Amino acid sequence: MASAGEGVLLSSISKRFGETVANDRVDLTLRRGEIHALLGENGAGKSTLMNILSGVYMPDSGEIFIDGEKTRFRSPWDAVRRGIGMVHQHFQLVNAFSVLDNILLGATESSLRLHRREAAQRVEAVGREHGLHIDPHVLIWQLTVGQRQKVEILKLLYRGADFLLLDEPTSMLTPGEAADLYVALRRLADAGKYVVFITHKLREVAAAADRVTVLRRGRVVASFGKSEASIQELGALMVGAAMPPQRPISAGNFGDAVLKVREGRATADRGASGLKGVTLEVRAGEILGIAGVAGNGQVELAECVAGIRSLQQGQIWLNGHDMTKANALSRLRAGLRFVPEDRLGMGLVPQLDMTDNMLLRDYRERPLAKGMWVSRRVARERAENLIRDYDVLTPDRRATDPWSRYRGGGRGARSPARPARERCRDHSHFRGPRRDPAIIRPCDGTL
Amino acid sequence: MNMTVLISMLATSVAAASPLLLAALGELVVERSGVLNLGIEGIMLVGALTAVAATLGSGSVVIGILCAIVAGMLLGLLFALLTVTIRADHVVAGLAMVLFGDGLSSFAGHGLVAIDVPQSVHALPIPLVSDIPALGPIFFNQNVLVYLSYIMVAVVWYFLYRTRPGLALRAAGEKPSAVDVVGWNVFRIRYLAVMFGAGMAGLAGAFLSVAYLSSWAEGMIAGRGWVALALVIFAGWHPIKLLGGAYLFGFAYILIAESQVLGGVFYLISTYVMQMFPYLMAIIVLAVMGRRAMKRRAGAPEALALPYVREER
Amino acid sequence: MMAIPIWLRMPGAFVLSVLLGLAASSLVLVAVHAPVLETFRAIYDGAVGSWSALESSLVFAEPIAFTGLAAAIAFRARVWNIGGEGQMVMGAFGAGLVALNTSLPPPLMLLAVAGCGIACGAIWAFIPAALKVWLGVNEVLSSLMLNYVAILWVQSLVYGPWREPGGGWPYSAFFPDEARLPSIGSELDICIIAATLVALALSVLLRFSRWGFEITVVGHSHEAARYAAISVTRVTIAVMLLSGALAGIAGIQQVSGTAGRLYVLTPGYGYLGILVSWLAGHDPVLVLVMSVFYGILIQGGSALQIAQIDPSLVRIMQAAIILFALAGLTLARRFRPRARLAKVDRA
Repeated sequence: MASAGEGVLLSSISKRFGETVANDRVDLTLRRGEIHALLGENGAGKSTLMNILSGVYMPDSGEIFIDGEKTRFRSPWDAVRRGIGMVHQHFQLVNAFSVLDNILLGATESSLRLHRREAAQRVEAVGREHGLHIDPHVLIWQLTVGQRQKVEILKLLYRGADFLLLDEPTSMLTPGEAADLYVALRRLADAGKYVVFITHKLREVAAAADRVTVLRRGRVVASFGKSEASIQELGALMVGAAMPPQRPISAGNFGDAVLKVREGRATADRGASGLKGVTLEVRAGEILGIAGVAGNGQVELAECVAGIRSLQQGQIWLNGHDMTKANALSRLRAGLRFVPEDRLGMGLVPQLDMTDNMLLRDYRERPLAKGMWVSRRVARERAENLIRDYDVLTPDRRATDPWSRYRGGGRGARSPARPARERCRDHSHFRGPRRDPAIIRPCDGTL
Repeated sequence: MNMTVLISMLATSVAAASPLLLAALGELVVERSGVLNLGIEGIMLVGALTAVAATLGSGSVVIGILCAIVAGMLLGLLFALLTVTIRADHVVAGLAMVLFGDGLSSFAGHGLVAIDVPQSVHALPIPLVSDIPALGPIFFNQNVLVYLSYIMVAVVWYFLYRTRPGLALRAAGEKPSAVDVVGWNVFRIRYLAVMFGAGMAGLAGAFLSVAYLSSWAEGMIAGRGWVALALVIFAGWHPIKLLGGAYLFGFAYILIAESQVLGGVFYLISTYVMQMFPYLMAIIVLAVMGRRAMKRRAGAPEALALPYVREER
Repeated sequence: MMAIPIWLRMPGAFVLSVLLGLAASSLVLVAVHAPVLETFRAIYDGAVGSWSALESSLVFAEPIAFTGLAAAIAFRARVWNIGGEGQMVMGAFGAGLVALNTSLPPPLMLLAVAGCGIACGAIWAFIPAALKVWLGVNEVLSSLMLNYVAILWVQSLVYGPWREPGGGWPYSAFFPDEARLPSIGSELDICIIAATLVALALSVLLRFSRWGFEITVVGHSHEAARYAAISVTRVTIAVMLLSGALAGIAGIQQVSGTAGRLYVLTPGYGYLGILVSWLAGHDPVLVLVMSVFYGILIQGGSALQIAQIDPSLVRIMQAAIILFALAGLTLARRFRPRARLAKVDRA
């Protein structure tokens, strides 16, 4: 319990959006110098809470106390003035501008003129002070993701922010960059700032946080100091059930190679590394996991196998047939199925209903296709079966509502209901630990 | 062609270019804030008519011009209401604006066609500077509105690149959420930008009706509003390049007029092909910029013509 | 865009907007002491009061229907083809090219005229499509610029080498009879039937064919299209070619149908097509309906001239109706009744 005085206290905060309760009487205590983690699944209410603290939303009920004083933020601007700063998961940076201009954009000075030279010096000074080194004159689009995040943090520090809220800060970072971030956060906390970050990654909490508060379905479920709870316990609290034990990697009985890649080379989009001579084999009945630090070619490998990206050198065989030159369509016909990482952006079209989304991949094949026509009736049947089998939450159990109305869980469930070989990428990242078993199982029997 | 003739042509080019410059400068600011206003042609028409009507009515050309600017700003307010608040499609709203401005000005201007405006704006040579050989007569022996256009280029440049609100405006056109998050009001920025742009378009229309020619006629804007749009693209949304581009286009206009001397088929081809010049140049610039924009070095403001929706986070 | 046409879902919004537009126009009329009832009466009589009036309205509707369909198909794929005006003009040029410079026997001549016109319109749309697909150029800007290039091109021909010998006006010589579109009644030509057939065909194709599905997907998300192995490039170009072809037909209709010769086309039909398509929610059949509505408005304007009332009044009316419809429909589309999430426990 915080003493009346130092600290930020969120007391009995509640917020609902229409029918959904995002926060339900949440109590949260934040202290200076402490790195506080807000842990929870998607939809647990973490982002909403932080948005309330940063003035984006107003709570339906409850109070915020800063150093004992009741505070009300009527707009993000109010919060900014109070020294609260948020680093969003999707950076709010202007790509065409320089680092300096982005920082100046967020500064709280009121002078009309821009004093760039003095500002640049100050940016460098603030950067040095907190261990974040960025050249103020570089343009944003030239920076890596990790560097851009540093710019976001610098933006807050430049205007003297006292509270740093970070929303899923490592979601787009490599493990190396994430480690850098933890160091920077530690330094900031030690300098007396409030540091709060939202996450659903258990290991991250263990690595970086001094204190963790677990949220589930809008309520605070528990709050622990460092090392007071194990990862298992945290996971269980987050999810509301015991986590399945980790499966050992077994050496099973597998058939012939179904997918073969030999010496695959491909260039990547600007900045990232590509494929440099990858050779691998996947056998019938086998699930092949490919691990690596993000940005080392996994996306390129998956896209090359799927046929969305062209292989500059090397070969790909599917079931013994050379598919190197085949386009995505032929690979589809050969039985290959690709589940993209960006399920929401790539695998689905939010504005279309489930029937149309069902058509998305298979619209050229029977029974969904009839010559040059598509059969929405068949697609709708399939969709309704899916909704039933996977308990997808739809606005009212029909297959014809726009996809964007479905909450998080439903969308992922739709993706894997396909037979044949799957190229599953990074499921757990998006889905959170609980849903994984349900999804991984169908994959099991067929690969 | 001797020197005197060339200088005289260049001087007329500057005058011909100035309405383009004014309208394009306004549209540049508008597009930089993320709004696409295709309705410039319609607003210029209304501005031209208002200037004539108000001048004749009040006897003072200054009042006429001011009324034109206000008329433009009112239309801008309407446009902003449609595109920023109601979030209607920018393209459709702009085209509707052209229709509206065209109809409104034709209708209201019925009794005023071809009436001469005696109080029109005359040339005002600036002492000393207008005696500089060559540059003097070209740039400094113009009417007041031309001088205003020089000043506006500097003002707009300074505002966009050296002031805080200008930075916010440019950011609003690239990533409005970034601006919103730091406390600026994106809607207010766009409203003000649109009204400024429309006011400038009204001023440009007034220039044509009371400074360049001296009367009102239906369709007198003759496509200059569309050329202004081409000019903004051609200039890569940068005020200094806009200045150069405007004079280039202005010179093309004068060449067209001069080539009548040549007569015959040659005249026709050259007239129309030269009139195509601004549009073709704009397309070429777009194509060239397109390749560069793919590497993020230049290009249209990222959020151009995309209505900003606040809630989606 | 949803499967159910927006217009069916929100008839109220549209009707209300039209009424507001008419009301606003009436205010304008009152303000300038123009006779309100007489004006509306004149418009009514002149546009729908008699069969010949209706015919005249439909004649105006023909080109707008085609430019509207052109816009609709492009906008469905989220390709903002603002170049309908220029593509229409190039279609007219293409028709004139064959009609004025070749002599072919009857059935062949018409086919050649139509074919050339369609090809020219399609090519004119291909340019911004190619620029978009291979150079990332914004198609709104490029197609817009090309409009003026096309208009100036035809102007140069019609004031110059193709001008009717001895004539003072910028018109070409009359097309030979075999190059004229067959007519229906006294003013209409077969385009009215063609427009209906095309609209129906497009409607069916968009809803039920694989190609139509591809367009819908591309129109919603390029990423999803990539995933479904749909080539965004192919769809974009195909859609633009079709769009340009349709706009080209609008041009052919005006020179081979109504006027019988090449001239500087009435400006604005291309843009009106965009407006009409937007009002119709880009639904082909509704585009047809809207274009008839618009044809009536235009014919009403001509009728006013005869009744010696200022015809630009109708332009203000048109604009007022469009502005109100724009505001009303946008708002109506935004505030759809929100679906409620089923109360299922997430355990």
